[in-house]
Formats: sequence, C-alpha cells, structure tokens
Amino acid sequence: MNILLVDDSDIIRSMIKRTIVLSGLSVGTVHEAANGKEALAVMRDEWVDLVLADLNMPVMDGAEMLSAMREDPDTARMPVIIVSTEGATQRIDDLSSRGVSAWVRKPFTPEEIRDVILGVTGSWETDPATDESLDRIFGHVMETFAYSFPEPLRSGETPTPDGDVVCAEIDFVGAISGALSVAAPGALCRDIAAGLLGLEPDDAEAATRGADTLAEVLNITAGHLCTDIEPHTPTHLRPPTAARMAPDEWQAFCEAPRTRMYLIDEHPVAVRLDLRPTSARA
Amino acid sequence: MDVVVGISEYAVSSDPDDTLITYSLGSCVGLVLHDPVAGIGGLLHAMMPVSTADPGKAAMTPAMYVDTGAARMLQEMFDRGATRPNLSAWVVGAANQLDSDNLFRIGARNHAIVRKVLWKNGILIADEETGGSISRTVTLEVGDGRAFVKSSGGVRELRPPRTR
Repeated sequence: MNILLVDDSDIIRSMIKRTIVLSGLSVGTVHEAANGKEALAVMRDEWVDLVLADLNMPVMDGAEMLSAMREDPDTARMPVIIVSTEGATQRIDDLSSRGVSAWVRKPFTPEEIRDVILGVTGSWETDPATDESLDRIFGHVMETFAYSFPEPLRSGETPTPDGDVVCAEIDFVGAISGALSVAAPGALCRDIAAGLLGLEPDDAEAATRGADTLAEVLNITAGHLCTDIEPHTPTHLRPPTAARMAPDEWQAFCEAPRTRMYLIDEHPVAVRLDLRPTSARA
Repeated sequence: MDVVVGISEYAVSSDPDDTLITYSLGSCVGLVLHDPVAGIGGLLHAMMPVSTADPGKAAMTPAMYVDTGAARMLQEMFDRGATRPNLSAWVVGAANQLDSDNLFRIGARNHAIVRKVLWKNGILIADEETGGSISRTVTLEVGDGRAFVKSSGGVRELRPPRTR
C-alpha cells in the first residue's frame, strides 16, 4: 500500500509518517505533497492507494483537490482521509458526500491516526471471496484456452520451474482498480500458444508467441475478474505487458503475501492480484 | 507468582509464571510494557509527571516520576533483551483527581508525559483506559502478555497491538 500525505506543514507530514511506520502497517512508499496541486501531480505519476489530506492549504486546498480527484476516473474512488482543523458540520457533510472515508480533527494523537488508517484499510485484507473468484475465473480461462486445469497449490513451498519464466502484468482502473500479474514457465506459455493456434508444441511459431499468449490469458482473466467483483460499473483495462523474469524475481513473486500458486500440467504458475482500495469499498 | 508494584515503583519480569499487578491507580499512571519475543514484561506505577519538579527525589526514587520511571523501566527491559518494535504498551489510570477544581491536573499531565515518552521511543499505545474519576487496578500476565484493567466498572482485557 502506497500512501500520499498532503499537508502544507512538513511537521504534520513527518508526524503522520512516523506514526505509519510505527503502526506496523505494510506500507510501500509514503509520498508527500504540500498542497492539492502537488498531490494531483503525484497521483498522476505514482501508484497511490490512500490519501491523507489537510483542507486548508495554499495554491490548491483539500476540497478543490478532492473535487478534481473525483472527476478523474483514475482517482474517482481513491480513499481519502481528511486530517484537518475543520469542525464546521456543514463543511464536513459537504465533503463527506464526495466520498471521504474518514475524518481526523487536529490536534490528534498518533494512536488516533493509526486507528483511523487501520479502520479504513482494515477491510482491504485479501477477501476470501476474491481469492475464490480468481481461482474460478483463472480456471475457466485456462480450461477454455489451454485445455488444462489449474490446481491451487496449498503448500508453502515454492517450486522452481525448469527453464525460463515469463511474467505478464495488467493494470486496471475504474470501478475497481489494481493490477493482476501472472508468472509462468516459458515451456507452459509455448504449450498454451500451440494449443490456441492449433500448432504442434515444438513449432517455432509457438515459441515466439508464448509471452503474448500469457499476456492475453491474463487480459481475459482480469476482464472477467473485474466484472465479477463489480458487475455494474465498467473498469478500464490497460494493455498488458509481458517480459522474461529472473529466477530471484520468480522467488520473490511467489513469496509475496498476495500471490496464489497453481500447478498447471506439472508447471508451477504464480498469480498475484493487487486490488487498489476504493472509497466505496472502504 | 503475583508481583505487587507499589506507588512510585516499577517491576520487570521475565518469569512466565509472574503476574505483575498494581492497585488503585487514581491520578497516578500505570505503564504496562510487554515484549512477547523476549518474553519480558514491565509495569510502572508513577505518581507525578516530570522529574524536574524535584531532581533529588527523582534520583532516589526514579519511578515516582513518569519521565524518569518510564525511561528507567524501558532501559532495564532493553538491557534484558526487549526491542522497541516488539513492545506492546498499555496506559492505565491518570484519572482526574478530585481536588479543589482539579487545579494541578495531575492525571492529565501524567497521561501527556507517558504519551510523550512512548512517542519519543517509537512505541504506539495499543490500548488505554485513562481519565474519568475512578480508581483502577492493572495486571500483566508475563507469560502470555495479556493485560487487564479492573475498576468499579468490572474487568476488561486491554487490546493487543493492532499490527499486521
């Protein structure tokens, strides 16, 4: 989880940052911005999962920033916690109607900040229903396209694939936002490509199409997963990418907490779903 | 074994069979620390906020003051293997003294100083039961790190740290 702190006081930003570190939250990067305009620029360039923002700031205040965020599909449902001196109920009601996940009124104790962040992010733990959707949809796509049945691997150990490994990734934004990635041995990708194209597994063309095939399998899986989680509001899928993966990257990918391991035709396959929280889910 | 911590005292134990206990915290503040990895617990019962009020007395009885008492207890726990990231902290007591107009706000000051010492040391409070105007008793089971607060309102287990 990456957090963006927006406050014109670097004292407040430092204090919140220290609290986040001490809370033991699994935080990636803590970005900082001194006003709404800077914050919007960070959100454009960086992956942000949660925003903690002040209201009264120079250049662009928190309310303007929130309005701009809500108009941009990329940030429309990004969760925002307001950390402000504001106490006027009318202003609070007005902003709350625009999807503020929580309020912290200054002055605050570190423990209050921690509790509010945990309260907002607590429901983002991997949802068993999401894991179940992933198993089902990935299984369906593999069955239809690759004539194989992924078996979820429950044991903790990470099998080492023979030969090269390909990793494909896709980002999606909209009703739900996040990334889905899959890592699979090159040999399996070639088999899938051959099956899809009606070629012999050792055909030279299948070998060159392996990575693209994996990316397409991922693309379809992600599309189904998004509508499975949020059937009504559309989600925009960005074009998938695929690249070779080094053995140590494979190891790290497989050991990441959100990675699910499958066995497909004796090949280990790792699938990882990172759902970006949205204000509606929070 | 029950280890009773008196006023202006603290105790540190790594005996899993020990229960640290301090009675009748009014405006005094009780600081409970536990490191489950090192298997060590500590309990402080401090009476006054800052040692600058009487450095001589603080030198003799560091646990009388929150600042010196907490620092001393923390140091002893670190010396015996506790580490900051593993420490659970609970704060109990610091009630509003029923003196005339609550002039000195001893309870609130004790609370503020214990928060300051913990924040400085990079320790967040897992749970607390402070303020009001009641007397409280707090216990820490060193073996399993469970802490309980007892008052006229009954007994409640203090929440473990909310970390992931």
